Amino acid sequence: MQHILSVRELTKIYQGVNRELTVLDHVSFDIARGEVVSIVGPSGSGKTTLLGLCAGLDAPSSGQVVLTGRDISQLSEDDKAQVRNENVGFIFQNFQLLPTLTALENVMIPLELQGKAKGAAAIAKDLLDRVGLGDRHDHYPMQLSGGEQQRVSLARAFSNSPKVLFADEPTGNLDEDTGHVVEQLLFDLNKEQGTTLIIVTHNPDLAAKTDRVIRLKGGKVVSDVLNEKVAR
Amino acid sequence: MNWPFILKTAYRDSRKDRSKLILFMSSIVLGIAALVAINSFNYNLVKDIDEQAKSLLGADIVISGNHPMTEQIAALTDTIPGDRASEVELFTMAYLPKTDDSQFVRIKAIEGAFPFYGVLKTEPADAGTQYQSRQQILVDDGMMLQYGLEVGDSVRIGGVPMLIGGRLMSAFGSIGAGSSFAPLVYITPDLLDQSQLVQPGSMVDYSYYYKSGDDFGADDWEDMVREDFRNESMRIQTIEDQKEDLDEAFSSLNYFLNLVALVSLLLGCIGVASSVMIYVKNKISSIAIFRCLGMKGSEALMIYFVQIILLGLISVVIGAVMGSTIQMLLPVILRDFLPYAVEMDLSWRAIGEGIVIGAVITSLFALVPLMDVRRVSPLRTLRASVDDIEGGRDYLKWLLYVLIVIAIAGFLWTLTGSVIDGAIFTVGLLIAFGVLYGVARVIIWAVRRFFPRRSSFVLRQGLSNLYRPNNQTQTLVVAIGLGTAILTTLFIIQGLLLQNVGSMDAGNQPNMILFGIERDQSEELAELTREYELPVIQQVPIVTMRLAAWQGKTKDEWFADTTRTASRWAINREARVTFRDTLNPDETLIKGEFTGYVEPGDSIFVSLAERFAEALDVDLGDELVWNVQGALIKTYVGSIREINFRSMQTRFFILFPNGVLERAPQFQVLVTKSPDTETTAAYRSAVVKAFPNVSVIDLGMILSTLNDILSKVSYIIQFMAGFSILTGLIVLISSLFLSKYQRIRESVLLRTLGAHRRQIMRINFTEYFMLGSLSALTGIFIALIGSYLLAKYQLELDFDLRWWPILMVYIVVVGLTVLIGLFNSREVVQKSPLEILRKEIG
Repeated sequence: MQHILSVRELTKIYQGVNRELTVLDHVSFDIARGEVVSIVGPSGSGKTTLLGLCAGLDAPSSGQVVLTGRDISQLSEDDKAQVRNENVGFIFQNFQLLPTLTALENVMIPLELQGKAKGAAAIAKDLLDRVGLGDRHDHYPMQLSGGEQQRVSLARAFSNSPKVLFADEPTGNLDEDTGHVVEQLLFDLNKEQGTTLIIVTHNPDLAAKTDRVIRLKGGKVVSDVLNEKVAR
Repeated sequence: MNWPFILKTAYRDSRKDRSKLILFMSSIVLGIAALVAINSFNYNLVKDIDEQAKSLLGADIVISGNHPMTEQIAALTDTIPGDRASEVELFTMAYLPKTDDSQFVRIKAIEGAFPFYGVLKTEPADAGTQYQSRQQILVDDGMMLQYGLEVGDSVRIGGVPMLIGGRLMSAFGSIGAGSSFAPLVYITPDLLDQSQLVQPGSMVDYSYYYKSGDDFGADDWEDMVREDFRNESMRIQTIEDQKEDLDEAFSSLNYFLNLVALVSLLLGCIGVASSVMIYVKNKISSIAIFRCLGMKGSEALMIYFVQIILLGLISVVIGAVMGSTIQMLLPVILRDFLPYAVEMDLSWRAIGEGIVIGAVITSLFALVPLMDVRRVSPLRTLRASVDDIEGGRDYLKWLLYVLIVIAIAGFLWTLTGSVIDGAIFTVGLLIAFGVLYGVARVIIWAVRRFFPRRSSFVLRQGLSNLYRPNNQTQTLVVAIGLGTAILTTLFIIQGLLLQNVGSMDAGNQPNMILFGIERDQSEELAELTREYELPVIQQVPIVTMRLAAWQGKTKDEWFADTTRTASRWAINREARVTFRDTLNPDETLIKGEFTGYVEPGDSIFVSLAERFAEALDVDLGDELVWNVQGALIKTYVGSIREINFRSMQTRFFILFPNGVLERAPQFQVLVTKSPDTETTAAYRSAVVKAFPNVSVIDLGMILSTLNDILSKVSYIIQFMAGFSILTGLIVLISSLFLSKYQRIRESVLLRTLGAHRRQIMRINFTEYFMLGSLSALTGIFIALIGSYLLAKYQLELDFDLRWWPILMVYIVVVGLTVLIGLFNSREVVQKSPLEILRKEIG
């Protein structure tokens, strides 16, 4: 099977004042194209650090991350940025929309970054319609509710048809009902586009909906199982 | 690079935040306005020099000296063709019968149709050309207004009544700053003869004017005869010399004005850097998102650079327009220091320079904080706790600092016209900034080190803001400190000058000098002085003489000697010499022995002032031969004295013993002390009425003239410093805004936790009070050192400080800082925490 993401012996150590802090300790796993994976674990287990390293937002202390066939741990910051722009989508717990851009402009950004300004607006409008914000194109993030902001974020994440989508607690800041709506949209869009989805979450219900669950504890992978075997 | 995207995103991103760049724009507008205004004015001033030089000199060649031309010298002028005129100029007293007042005046008696170029501006207009034939006089308009004189009134000069034929509207060929001390009066040669004011020993200047025309080659002639004239202590001035003199005079003015422009510009630069820093801080989360979505660091930098540079260019243009408008004010402010009315035109050169310098400086200083945009970590989207900017050395930033120093050095080079001067100034500026920055660092360290841990919560919160991460202590201390230092130095020096002159009046120090007294008047004058119950502190005889030979060689032989070390001024000086048998209290013997009396036939030992002995390069025992109005007297240097120049007394470079000069032609000087201005005025009038040839100078007159000049100078400096202060205020506001963004979350959190409005205000008050105080004190500290050095080594003044102007500067600076700071944070206390968080942090 072709792996879209391969993590080998990944280690991240932070230099403290008096001692070193190992946040990730020789973590290894592979994720196949189209797979939907959740990374779970208690606070401080290294989930978000792992996500940041897999997406090329941070540099490992040692080990290797191969994303869409490229060893991103060897790339420069700008090259990593290019890999992200071409292959990766993001959804954040706190939405991370650009406050000075309208909903439509926020969704267009990844496409425009690729130089695909032509047609970007049409794709972005379609996606906003798809997430139920057809009448809110020109609204600024401040004028939208939390759920609406996360839906814009969803539309943005899929706008450049990413090969991998990283989601960091996508429903963590939303109430239960809104969370469900966003979850449903996430899985539906993912299915439509055939994207590989990697979700970091605390939420066991959300993890239960993924194909595979990687559990971290103390910076190490303690279990990596397919969904029907996840211990509740 | 994806330029269409960058431009589009730059536009979109700036849409809602442009108002946050108002401070950035204001900094540039003010800095460039100052630069353009000052440069436009300078260019307009210089442009007029060529046109004005001729009419300011009034002739093609002017020869002047403090004695009439000798026959030898006159023969050298025979070759000059065209019309001629001559002038005798001296200072004397004028008695005004109409008001029973007297006034010290400068009189000029002109023979011939001078000025050949330009006109004497008078009222009525024809008075300037008619007064000579009508045997009338022209009196300075200011003096006529002061005493309520009218054309047709009479003035007595040297006891001779003279009819005022017209008002002199502008003092020809000189600037007006000193005219209130001795206003100008034009009289005729006949009237001067009648007044008998020109006596042996009188201080008289003689000028000879020639209208040689353009074909003569005045400068070649000057080159040919200059040495002969210099040896006779006569000066030649041509139109070309006049242009050079004006150029030189204006280049000092330029220099000063340019320095003011530079300070404003530099403060503006600090404003630019600090307001862009606020902007970038505000944009960090957006930049992190852009980076996370795959934007390159250089692209992110470009988005913000485009925004900044476009707004910067708009501001530079606004600044240039504003500067061109302000320049119209400068001639009004500098009026008293300009010899002619400057025609103000739009100076495209100044505008062009302003725009180029503005664009370069703005880009460089804005790039300093903008460089950080490249280093915003995308990880910040996942973790808010990640550092805003990735660590590590940024070599590009260091390169930028080098470029900034080169740009400033280049600017200073164009300003001073010399690479070395430019470099020295750049190093000086770096040191000044270094000192301010160093002081700020010490302050931060000291607050931390000696932190009052047991003090109240409010005080601890306020104080700790001075050293917390992202504090603005350094920026503020540098910006506000610099402005404060300039102003305080100005106030201190002005105060010292007035105080030093004023202190001459203290105790029993004399405050009035009468000179030009003839020998037979001296007893009567002393009597009159005593009638007014004034003490005759000194009554000194003065004999004028010239040096004829020294150390065995005559003056001519010395002039021919290329190894001569004596200064020309000491050789050619018409020496005013006195004789007495004791030293005065303000004289200290530093070498040799003072001889008070000499028997007829004995060797004569004179005492020289240290400065004069050095200038003549003579020492104890050296021979000096004097020409005392025809008679040669051989003397030897017997002693060398140091003279204290801080009292209003007569002082002499050359002091003879009694027994030599008693029979020589002489006049006298009388020194006295008047208790008040009424007595001074009454006594002065009585003296002028009874002894028309005697001049009276009192300290009050000198003080009020000095005050007048100083207040004019300080008015100009204050106006110019106003630019710096205004820019400084913008920097202050932007720095405080920066701290506002830093502190707002904290204040809101405190509010949420239930902090009272008053507590928040007190915390802010403490922080801003400390910031203002520290900035002001640093500035004052630098000003104290600077003005001490200036006073001690440049101006030679006693450094006796008056603290209240300094206290005022401190109060104003601290008050403004606190006011602006509290005004900034009023929102936090007036609105709900959530509302502020939504608005400010979004």
